[in-house]
Amino acid sequence: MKVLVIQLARLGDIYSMWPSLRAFKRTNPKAEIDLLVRPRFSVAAEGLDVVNDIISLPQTEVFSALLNDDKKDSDALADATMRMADFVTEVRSKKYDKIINLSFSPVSSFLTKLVEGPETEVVGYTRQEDGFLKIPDDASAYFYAQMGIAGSNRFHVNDVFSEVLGVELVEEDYHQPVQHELPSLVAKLLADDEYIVFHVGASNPRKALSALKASNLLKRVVSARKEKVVLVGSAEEQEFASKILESVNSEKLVSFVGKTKLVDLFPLIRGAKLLVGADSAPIHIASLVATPVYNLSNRSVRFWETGPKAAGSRIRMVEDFDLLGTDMMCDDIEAMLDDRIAPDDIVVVNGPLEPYHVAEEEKADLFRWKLVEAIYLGKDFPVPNDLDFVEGVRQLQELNGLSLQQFHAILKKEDHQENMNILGNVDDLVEKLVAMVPDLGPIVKWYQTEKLRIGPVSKEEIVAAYTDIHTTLANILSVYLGDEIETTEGRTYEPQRV
Amino acid sequence: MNQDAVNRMERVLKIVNETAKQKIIQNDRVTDEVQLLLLMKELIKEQVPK
Repeated sequence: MKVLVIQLARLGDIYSMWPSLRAFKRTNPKAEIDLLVRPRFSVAAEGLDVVNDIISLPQTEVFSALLNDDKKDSDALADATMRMADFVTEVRSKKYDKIINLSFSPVSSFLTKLVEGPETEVVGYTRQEDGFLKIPDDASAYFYAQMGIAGSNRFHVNDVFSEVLGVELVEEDYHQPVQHELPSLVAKLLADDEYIVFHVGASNPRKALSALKASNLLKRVVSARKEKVVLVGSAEEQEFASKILESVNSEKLVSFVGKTKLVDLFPLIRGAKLLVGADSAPIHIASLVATPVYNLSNRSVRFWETGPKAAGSRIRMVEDFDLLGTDMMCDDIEAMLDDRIAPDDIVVVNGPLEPYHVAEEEKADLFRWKLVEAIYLGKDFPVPNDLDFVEGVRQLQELNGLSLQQFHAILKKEDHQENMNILGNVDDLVEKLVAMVPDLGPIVKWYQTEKLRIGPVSKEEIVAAYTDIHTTLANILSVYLGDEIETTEGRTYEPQRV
Repeated sequence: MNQDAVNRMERVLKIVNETAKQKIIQNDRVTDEVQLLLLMKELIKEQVPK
């Protein structure tokens, strides 16, 4: 079986899919897996030995043609498009039996559509014949509906990737050895010392500690501990690292920032007692070499989806890094190094196959997650936190009833423009309603996504599919539409009848 | 990316949109050629600052 995996996201996403690709190869040993990535991030596939061939999207060639000043706009576009067309033809000619798009992006969906053949099995985003987004599998539809910083999802992206690939992960899928030695210079500097790795940057500056905060923390750590601290990061982060080195001014602090390749981080992090860092590629490498991580997370990251997986890791989640005190971070690090019990306000990671353990929960987030579990996993629907949600459900049910009426009417007559207008207005009102009652988000996102998945079929088939979805929605909402609904505050709701 | 490059990409995006629209009308369907143009559009959009 020839398989093409498309991953056009960044470094972290490429590392996040390693366990799933290994599991896929484990369960399909004869599969020949090619991986299509962006050229800039192809380094993150180095060491993943289940991949036969790494194919790079020809972004540099396309954009150099597009920005050729010697040509007028339309000619430059024609050249760039031709280069992309050549690439598409070449990939399509490989006649893949299966294409797995793990990118969840518009670019990847069009690319998938263009390289798939009539017999190709496709999972992940692609495009319908009419150009609209097509989401053939439930796992990718789940990603579309519930994942991302504004969502309520608590499934880790690694686990969602495994669902898209249809494989069950085992620990071995995480921890297969990557055969790579430490560069001799690095090995010599570290000798037999015990050390902690500190990643100075993050995938986005908003996700990283400031140089001042990092310096204050590391001053404390090097004075309190016997372990060396090794700074790692990219060449662009060298200036940042220099500030820290200058401020901390300790022989126990060593910087390899800008001096290592990504694959060097495998042996470097594997040999460390701990990795300290925000949301970034090294966190995912730590998951693959079973090194615990002290992960700093704020509101710009949904740690549930991208946090560390290695057993013994801990996640310190704060609204804003301004709220992170040096004492708190240093105490957390010392507690991890000395194997002391985690405080209640920290997230504990028990292993790559275990859910995160959170002692203190935010009520609204927990309610929405339980709603997600009820919709997708058939678990019990949660008790609402307040009456606004129950009132929101009642209004959503009214709008849903109005939609169902339109579907029945559309089937009975030829000219149904008026009904279509009403359906459009209902969609707008649903958007406004969920903005006012965010707890409705998981339900609304589910039903909007399911409607989007209906392809270009006959009017009768569309109406039948929509009716099914809206009927299921009515059933979900009915859970909260009894005569008296209790909330977690112990208050009951009596529906207002007009 | 410099401002000239951004300006070109914005102009090219307009051409892509217009061309795709014309081709859909001409063929009364979304052909592979149009899907390719839409791929180019999305690729360019990723580079243009929002």
